[in-house]
Amino acid sequence: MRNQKYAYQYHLMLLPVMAFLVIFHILPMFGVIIAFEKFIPTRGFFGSEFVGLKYFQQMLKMSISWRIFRNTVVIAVWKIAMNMVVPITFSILLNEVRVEGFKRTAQTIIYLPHFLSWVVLAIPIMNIFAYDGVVNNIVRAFGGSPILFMSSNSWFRPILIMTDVWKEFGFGTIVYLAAITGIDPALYEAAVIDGATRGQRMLHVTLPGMLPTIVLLATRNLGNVLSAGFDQIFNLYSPAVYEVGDIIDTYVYRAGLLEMNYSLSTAVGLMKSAISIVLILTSNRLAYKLANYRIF
Amino acid sequence: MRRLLSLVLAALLALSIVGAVAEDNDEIVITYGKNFDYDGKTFIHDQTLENNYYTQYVKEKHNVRVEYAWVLDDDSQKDALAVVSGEMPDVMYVNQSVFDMLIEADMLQPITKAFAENANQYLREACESYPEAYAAATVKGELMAIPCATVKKQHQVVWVRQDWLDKLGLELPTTLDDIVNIAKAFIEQDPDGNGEKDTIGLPLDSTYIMGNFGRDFGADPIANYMGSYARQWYLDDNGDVVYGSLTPETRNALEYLAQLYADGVIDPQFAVREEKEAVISGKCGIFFGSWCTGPLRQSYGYDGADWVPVAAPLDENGYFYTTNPIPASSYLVVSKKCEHPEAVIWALGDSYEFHRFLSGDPEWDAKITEYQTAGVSWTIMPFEIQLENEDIVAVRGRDMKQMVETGDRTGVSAQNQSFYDAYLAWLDDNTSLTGWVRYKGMYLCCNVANYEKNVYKDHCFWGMTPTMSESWATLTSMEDEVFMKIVLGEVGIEAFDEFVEQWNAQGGEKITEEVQAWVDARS
Amino acid sequence: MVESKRPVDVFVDVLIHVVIVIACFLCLIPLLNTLALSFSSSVMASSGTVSFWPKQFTLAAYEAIVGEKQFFGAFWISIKRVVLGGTINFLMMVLCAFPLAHSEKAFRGRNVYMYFLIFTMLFSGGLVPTYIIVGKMGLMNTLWALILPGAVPVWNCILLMNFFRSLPDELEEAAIIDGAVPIQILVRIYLPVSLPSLATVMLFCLVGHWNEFFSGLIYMNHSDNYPLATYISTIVDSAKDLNLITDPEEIERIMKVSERNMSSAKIFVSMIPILIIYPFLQRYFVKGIVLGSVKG
Repeated sequence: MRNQKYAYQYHLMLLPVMAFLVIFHILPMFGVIIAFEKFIPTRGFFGSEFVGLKYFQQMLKMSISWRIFRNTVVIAVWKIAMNMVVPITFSILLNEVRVEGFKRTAQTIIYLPHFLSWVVLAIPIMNIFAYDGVVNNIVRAFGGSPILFMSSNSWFRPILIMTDVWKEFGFGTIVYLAAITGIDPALYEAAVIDGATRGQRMLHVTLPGMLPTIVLLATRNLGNVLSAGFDQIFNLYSPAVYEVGDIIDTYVYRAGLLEMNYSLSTAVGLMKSAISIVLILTSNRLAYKLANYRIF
Repeated sequence: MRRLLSLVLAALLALSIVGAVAEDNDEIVITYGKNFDYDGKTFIHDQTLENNYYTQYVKEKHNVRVEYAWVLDDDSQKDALAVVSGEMPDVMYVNQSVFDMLIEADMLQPITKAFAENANQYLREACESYPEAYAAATVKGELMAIPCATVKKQHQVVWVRQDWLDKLGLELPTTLDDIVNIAKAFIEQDPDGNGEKDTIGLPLDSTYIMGNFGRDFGADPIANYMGSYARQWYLDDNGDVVYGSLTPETRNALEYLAQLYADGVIDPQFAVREEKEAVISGKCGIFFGSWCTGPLRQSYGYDGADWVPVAAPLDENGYFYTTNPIPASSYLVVSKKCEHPEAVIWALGDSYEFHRFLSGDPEWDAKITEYQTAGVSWTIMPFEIQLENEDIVAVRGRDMKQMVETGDRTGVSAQNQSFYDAYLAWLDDNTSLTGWVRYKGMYLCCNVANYEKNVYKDHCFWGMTPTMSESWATLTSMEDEVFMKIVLGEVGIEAFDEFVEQWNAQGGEKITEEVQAWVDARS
Repeated sequence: MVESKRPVDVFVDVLIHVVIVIACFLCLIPLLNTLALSFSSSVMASSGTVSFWPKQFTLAAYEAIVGEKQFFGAFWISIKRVVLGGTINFLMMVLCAFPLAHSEKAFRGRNVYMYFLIFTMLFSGGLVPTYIIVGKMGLMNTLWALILPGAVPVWNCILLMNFFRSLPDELEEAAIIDGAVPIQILVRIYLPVSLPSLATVMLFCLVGHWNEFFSGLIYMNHSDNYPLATYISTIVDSAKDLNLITDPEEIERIMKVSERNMSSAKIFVSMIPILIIYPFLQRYFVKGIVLGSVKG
């Protein structure tokens, strides 16, 4: 049925969808105009004084810009990398389990944290890493001296990455586990006949079998390089760790809503969106090339 | 079907009530964005924010009704959002930066005339007692807001547990060394007697190490003693503007604090702890806090905690160095679109007339007494702005002293007498938290705050200059970070010099010039 | 596969199981910590010594929140939001995914729609303009403000579309020959075979609605209209801000509220719906997420 017979019905179906998107996403986009003007509320979006690229220039001059950019990229890249390594390893392990009930229970438990929000999780995490928290109690038990994890510039980032992996690895595991399930059992049988040990089978059959999925997810994550996780950092950070923990999104929030520097905040946000869209289009192209998969 | 019928009936009834209200033609309605948190608030007789003794009094006196555009926590950003989206209610209660923005955007109406003609005696006296605050709300000769003057003498003093001192055979502190020694003793000598080394020395606020007036757990008494007044603009002896965070004295204070931290005298985990929790759970016996300190109240009922306030550290001549607050940091503003600015002044004046037992009507006085007994918060009044005479702490302390020590009530306001009554009730049955707080806060601590050898450092500027609005956030976060790191010992004190240099380079120098110009223009 | 049970294999098996059990325990830590705190006395909870087992066991926190009108009001608002918002999300996703699952050949304009979707996903006008639109639509302070701006969950639409695309063309072609029109094909054929994917994207939507706190914070004018997540975020915040209060007559209330065991109890109660709904939907979930995100 490769003709346009039903096209108008399709348009009709999409009508409500588009209506919502236009009203709540497209209309507000006129608001980005304030990035180019000295915004004064009473004069409105179209009446405020136009200042051209002033706020973009200011952004480039600010010493804080480099810091938030660096933090964002470093944290995001680490998260992306660890969020691949850990689930891949874990899915291979889980695949070795033969007891179905155990496997299912484990899966259910490990991706539970994915569904809890950072607002809620921030509190137990702070407790656990507190000076007299569980982790420091263990450190003490081994004769170490306790560490101020949440205000330490050397520990804050690892904690962000660790807790993020902790929250998301179960979720990734499912995807990789499915990829493993999709591997042709005949390959394993052949390997067994060739006398491959268990470790060799993991390395030479399972891992290559997962490769397309791995490549796909890796490229797809490229688009997230400028999103290092606002909810998480917002709920965990403090001025003591701005140097390593302040990211673009948290800065945009502070500059915009707390300091009411709307124009600057919008300019920074706009810059981020622009870079992100380039990254996402690149990743879509890469995914298609490397894994023959179109995300869109 | 019956259910439907009853719904329809209810709807009709509701409509008729709305109709009845709408018929009240002379009623003036003012819309207001209220900052209010229901959590833990008491209401009596099924009253609400919209209908309580305050609103009833305002309605009876001037037929004004205040309608709430929103009722939210102070830290909601609703006011900022309402302003940018052009939907500002008639009246808002805003902080300094929103106030500045509203002035710049020309969204406020001058209330000079409305105030002059309609303010009642209490309102006028409260505002006039505080010329600095009044000046802060005046722009180009016009009064643009009712300033919420920050009450003076709320500075931090030392709170210390007398029961622990007694147990370890120590005296109340007067010098800085005393404070340090007490903190050390509290860490080392197991004052809570549980056999575990689980008590801490001096707690410190993680965000604001010093220079935030009215907070608890700052290191201000120590810093001020050393001549450092961080986060404050003041004039030096030559009349030049100084930003206190940059001075050599501040450098010394930070170095000293870093040493205290390294020695373990300052709570080793202050950077990550909710300090009040240490106080509440009986792990801390000495801290810096104001007379109305929150943690203290929370510790009420914790076994035998007998907190005592002291003005310390004193210098060799007995002087206590401290700072006055920014005169005003929040403002009740009236939108340009508001048609009845006089009604705003009425509602505010009436609320306080009722609140301060000034209605001259015993029936209303009985009602406010009822509120105080039941612990109903004054913030349920239409505009929850604090309007006090500048000397309220001094007067309360003096009045309480007179009443507690002699039982003589002559010359004491009805409200202060009611505090004394609460205290008497506490003496009687030992259960009333209110009475205990009246004793600790108003009797003991107000009098410590009244200490005759207080030396105050005044602010010379507290607004926003043009350059500040662009780079102040960056500069303060840099300051927070560097100070924190120095105290934590992550960087050496040399980092302070680099900070000063950076601060000046990144707009600070320009800001200082702007502040100087502002000050010069005023004098 | 026949496993040869060499001792080394048994050892590896045991090791794998141990690692998995430890991972499961790690995932449950915040839950256990929250539970333990909520059952501890307030003094113990503030002292920072409670880890996974309550100290001075008490039900006081739960007894206290039973009497809190605002908490249960917020709970009820969240339930309404999830049901209503979930329904609208469902309609929008289906209406969006089905037409777009067709190729450009069958539906000219499909790619334009697609790029439009991507664009709205990446760019936004920011907080303030969206706020103004929501106000102009008269949605301020209503439940709709929490639902309509996010009525079209674009990423989930794309997931579902990818799943629809993976269905064999013959399904649709056969139906068309039988005289069915698109809406019938969608309802009678596509939906029944897509249950796993639908369950997956719905789980995302429902959990998203339950956890989202920011829009409540900005669109609601009265704190009694807050959904539960927003309410929780304010109690977490107010715990931070207690030191700010300097008003003498105000501080008394602090005695009664915002203690750590209370907030833990509230947090735990807020997790309950997720803990209930999750096992039901997760049955489909594994299948759904994999089909939607990986298959091309």
